[in-house]
Amino acid sequence: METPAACPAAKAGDFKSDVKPVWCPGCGDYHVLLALTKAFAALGLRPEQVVVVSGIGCSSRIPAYTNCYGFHGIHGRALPLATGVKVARPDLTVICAGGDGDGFSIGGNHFLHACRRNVDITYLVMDNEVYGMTKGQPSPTTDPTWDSALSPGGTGMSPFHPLVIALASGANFIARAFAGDPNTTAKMLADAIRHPGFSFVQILSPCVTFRPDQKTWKDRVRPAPVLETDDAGRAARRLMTDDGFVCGVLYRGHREPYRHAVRAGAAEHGPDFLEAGFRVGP
Amino acid sequence: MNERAWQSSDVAGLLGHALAIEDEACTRYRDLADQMDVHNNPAAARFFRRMERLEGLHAEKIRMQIGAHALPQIAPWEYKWQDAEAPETTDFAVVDHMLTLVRALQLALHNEQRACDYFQAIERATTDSSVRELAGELADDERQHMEWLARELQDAALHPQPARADLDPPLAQE
Repeated sequence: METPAACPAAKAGDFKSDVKPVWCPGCGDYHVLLALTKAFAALGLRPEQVVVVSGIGCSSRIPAYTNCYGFHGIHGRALPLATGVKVARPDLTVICAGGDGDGFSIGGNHFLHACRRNVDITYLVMDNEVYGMTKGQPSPTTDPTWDSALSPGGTGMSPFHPLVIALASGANFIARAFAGDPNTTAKMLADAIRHPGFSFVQILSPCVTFRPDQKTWKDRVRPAPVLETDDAGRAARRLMTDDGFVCGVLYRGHREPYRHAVRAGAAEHGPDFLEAGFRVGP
Repeated sequence: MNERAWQSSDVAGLLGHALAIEDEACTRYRDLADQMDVHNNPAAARFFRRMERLEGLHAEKIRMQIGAHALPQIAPWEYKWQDAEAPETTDFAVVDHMLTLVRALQLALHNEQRACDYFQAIERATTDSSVRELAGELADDERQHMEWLARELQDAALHPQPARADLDPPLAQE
């Protein structure tokens, strides 16, 4: 996207709002906000060219902390909202953000179909393997042995593997980042935004309040030992066998993104057609 | 510190890195002060605001030194730091809402030490006399900040704050 010639380049700080985050001190989401604003600035974007859409949860507060257009939606419905924004306004850079509960449980079905539709949006999930805002329930990505008052002895359920699911469902760009390395995360987000189609970035973002054990993540994460691939079969084998701490761009595909405007018949069934259907009165 | 971490050998590159160190430190102290405000920790908030101002002044000083130098355009991930972030930047992960003033001072002192080490490593490694001189000056600045913080830390240790009660601790749902 071109930066208007009359506007000076925006800095990362220009993408932050005056609203003070209410996340717990120590939360990984602070790093993610920083990485996101750095990515926007590095891409030469301006706040009015970006929309940040979210659902519900600690991490879903992020639109309020940016100076971009924002939509703090309802639980699990961030992806349909983001898809609608992008289809109606393909000129905007659309970021969808949220947590593992919002994205993989309540919004799990939307996740599958957003990958499949391959609309040109970037979905970042701040994964802390817990519902933090509602005080510590296990989420779809929680380890089955995690012992808590609400899940004595652990849930015993196989955790959701978001990257594998994303690949199988058709996502065009798949990456994993660690919040504690915000500059590398910024690069991954910039790459994801630049890549056409549906880009999915799982960001391991520790919850220091309800999962203090996640402070050890910084010692477990490591860069992917092999180069990124565009071979879905190879990516599948890697993703199925990694331990969840390998970071980097793990798959970069070549699927043509969904382009509403060029589809046959789209013009007569586009936003104007839909708006006319909702219009009342003369 | 790994002295091979520094690969740029020109004055403009060093000034660009020095400015990024101060700008990032300034922004981080502001963010930390905001966090402490939100979580009702006024002593730590006041200290981080003070550090924000000091790092801002240091950044201004470096901007004056930059003058007519054309700084290279460097993406955030292309800076050559030893760790994940610039050496004077407090890791968000090491603070909590009950942070004491003494601990905040220790974190700031650690940051200044890392920045000093960073510039000293460049001073030792470079073969360019202009870079060596500038790196030495920058290391001296950081050393002065360390001395000031060490005095503040001594004062704070002599006048410890009463322990704060956590009136609203996070509780997992039972």
